[in-house]
Amino acid sequence: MKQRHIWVFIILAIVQTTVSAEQVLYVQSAKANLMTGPGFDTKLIRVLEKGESVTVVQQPGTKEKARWIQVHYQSSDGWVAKLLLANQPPMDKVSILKGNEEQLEKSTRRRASSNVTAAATRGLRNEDRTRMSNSGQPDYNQLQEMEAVEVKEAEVREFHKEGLGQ
Amino acid sequence: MAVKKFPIIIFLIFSMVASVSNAEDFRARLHQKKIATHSQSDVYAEVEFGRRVAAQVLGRENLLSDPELIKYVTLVGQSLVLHSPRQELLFHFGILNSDSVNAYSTPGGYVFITKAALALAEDEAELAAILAHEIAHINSRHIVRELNIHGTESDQLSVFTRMISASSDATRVAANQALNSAMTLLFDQGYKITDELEADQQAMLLLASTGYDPSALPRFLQRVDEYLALNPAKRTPTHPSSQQRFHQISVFLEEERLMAKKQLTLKRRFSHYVSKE
Repeated sequence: MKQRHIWVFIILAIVQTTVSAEQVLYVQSAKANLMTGPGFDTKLIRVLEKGESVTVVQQPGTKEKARWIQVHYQSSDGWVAKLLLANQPPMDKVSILKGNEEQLEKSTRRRASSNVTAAATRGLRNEDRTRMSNSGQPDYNQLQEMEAVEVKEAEVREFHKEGLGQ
Repeated sequence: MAVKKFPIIIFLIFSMVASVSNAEDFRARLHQKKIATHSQSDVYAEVEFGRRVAAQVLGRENLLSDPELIKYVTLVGQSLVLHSPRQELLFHFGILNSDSVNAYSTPGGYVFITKAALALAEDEAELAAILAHEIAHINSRHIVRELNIHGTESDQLSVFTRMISASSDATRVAANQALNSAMTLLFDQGYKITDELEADQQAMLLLASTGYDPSALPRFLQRVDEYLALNPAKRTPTHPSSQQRFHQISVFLEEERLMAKKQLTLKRRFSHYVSKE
């Protein structure tokens, strides 16, 4: 009876070993090359897409190969640049509420300039006060102009394919 | 008795193997945490802060108004972004109407190249190299890490937003100091050499993944060195010493066996969009 319990423990230990060795990583980039070896001079097996999961086969420790991870994807084993993988699925695009910064900073500057004396009395350095007054004027109009330049991902992929053929 | 002990010994061996495996897994997880520990609120804080710094940059330098050229630079930049790990960010590209050969990036996805830097590039791979280096600074959160900008776990309002809208003067001064520190880093002090080297390596990985010639980076840096030797007045404090960078770049290209591979530079497409008058 006691021996049977021990064998159950042995089986559990084997299962634990197997499970803990299997590490899943997720592709973070829109495109990631699955190569036949740890380097760009090897052959391309296929291009993985953002969010696809791979299982780690091995992570070499040597310096020159540490930038690559050998992974299993569907029926193939290949190598992916470590930079493009993470242990959590990629985040969605982050968009923040834009437009109120200018107003917020204007009021901040107003409050700051009227309170420089108060700041000095609390022991803030001259350097800090100089920085407060010389912080420059942010230009949100130009920033919005820059943000207004939008290209669709399909257009980027076409541009990329046209020039670099991938 | 010996027979009875045998399963116990096996059990102990397997337990040890399992614990070693767990330790390796833990180390792997630790490494992965280093790659991706940021929460969504950290990213919000990063974008909010970076956007404010970008507005400060544009308060100092004007954007070039050339829609066709801006779209071309954006398409080159976005091609690199396709192969870049931070898909949660919206990247924006701008050309600064400046005679200083330089490029800048602010956290959250804002990339600037000066018209002088664009004019010094000779092909699309070199333009991509400049942009990839800046994208790498953003990907690696160099400014964000240096200034310790992060979000809060409780909600999506970042520490930075709390600071800048705080009722306490000292807190607002601290927020403005963070903005000014970022500007000092970009325009006066420059990045730490370790951050520059990391950005160079990542830039070459991005170039190679995208299909561009990664040796476009040292080629362009070499041209900048020659240009600054002839025009010493154009040198700025943020131009780092190139010798250490060249050494690390050549080691990297050799380790990744990238020198021998035929790579694309797309000189003709570049010449079509970038006039050399």
